[in-house]
Amino acid sequence: MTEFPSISLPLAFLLIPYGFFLFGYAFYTLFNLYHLSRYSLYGIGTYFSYVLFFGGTLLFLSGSAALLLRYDWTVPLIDSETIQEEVFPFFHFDLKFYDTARPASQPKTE
Amino acid sequence: MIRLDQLPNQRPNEKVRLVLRRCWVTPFEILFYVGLLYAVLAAGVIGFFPQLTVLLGRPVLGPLTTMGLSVYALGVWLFGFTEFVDYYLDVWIVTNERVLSVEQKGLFTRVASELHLSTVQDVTSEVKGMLRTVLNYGDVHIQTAAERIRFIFKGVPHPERVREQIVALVEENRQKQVEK
Repeated sequence: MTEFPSISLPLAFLLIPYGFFLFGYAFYTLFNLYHLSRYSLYGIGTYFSYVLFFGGTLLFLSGSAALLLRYDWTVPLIDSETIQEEVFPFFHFDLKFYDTARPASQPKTE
Repeated sequence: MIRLDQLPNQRPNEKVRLVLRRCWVTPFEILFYVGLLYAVLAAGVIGFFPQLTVLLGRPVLGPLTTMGLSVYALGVWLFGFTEFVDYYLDVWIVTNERVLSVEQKGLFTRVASELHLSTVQDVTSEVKGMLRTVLNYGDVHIQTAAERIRFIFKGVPHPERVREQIVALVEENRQKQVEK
C-alpha cells in the first residue's frame, strides 16, 4: 500500500485562502459602495440597494460563520491518516491497485 | 451623490426635463442570472442532501465544502451587486440647456460628459431586434456639429418619444438664442 509522507498541517490553514477571498470581497464591495455614494442620483433607490446588499452579505456571512464554527480547526489537514480515511474512501480509490512497481510474486523487503 | 436640483455647473434657469436609465430589462437580466446561479446551488443542495450531510460531518471535507459553498454564495451576490451598480450608475440627464451623460464602464472606469443643446444637429432613435421592438426600448443617438461628439443613450425605454422630446428642447433652445 502507498504510504504518504507524514506532514502535519492544521485545518486552520484553509482559512488563509478563504481570508484572501473575503479580503477581495471587501475590496470590491468598498469600490462599489464608493461609486454608489459618489456618483449615483440622490434618492431612495440608492439607500435601498445599500440595505439589500448589506442584508444579503450579512446573511451569507453569518450563515457561513455559524457552519464553520462547528468544526475543530486543530485537526491535521494533511497527514497520511486523514487522506486515507477522508479522501480516498470518498472517491472509492483502492491504492493497492496503483502499487505496480513491485511484481506480485516478489516478496516485500523492508 | 448627484442631486437633480444641484447639477454640476448648473446654470441659473436650468431645469431637468428628462432623467433616463436603461430599460428595466437590464436589471431583470441581472436578477435572472443571479437567480439562476442560486437555483443551481439550491438544486445541488436538495438533490444531494444525504451525501452532503455525510460530507459536512467529516472533519476535513466538511469545512472545505462549507467554505466552497460560502465562496459560491458570496461570489454570486457580489457579482449581482457589481452588475447592478454598473447599470444603476449609467444615467443620462437632459435639461433645457444641455445633455449630461454619466456612464460606468466596469468597476474602475467612469465617463462623464456633457453637450450644449445648441450644438445638437441630429437626433436619431434606433430600435433593433424583436425583444426591443416588443418592449419598445432602444438607443438614441445625438450628433453634434463637431463630428467627434456623438452621445448614445443605450437601451432607454420609449426611444422615439425621447427623440421627440430632445428635438423639441433643441428647438426651444434655438428660439431662445434667436430672441437674445
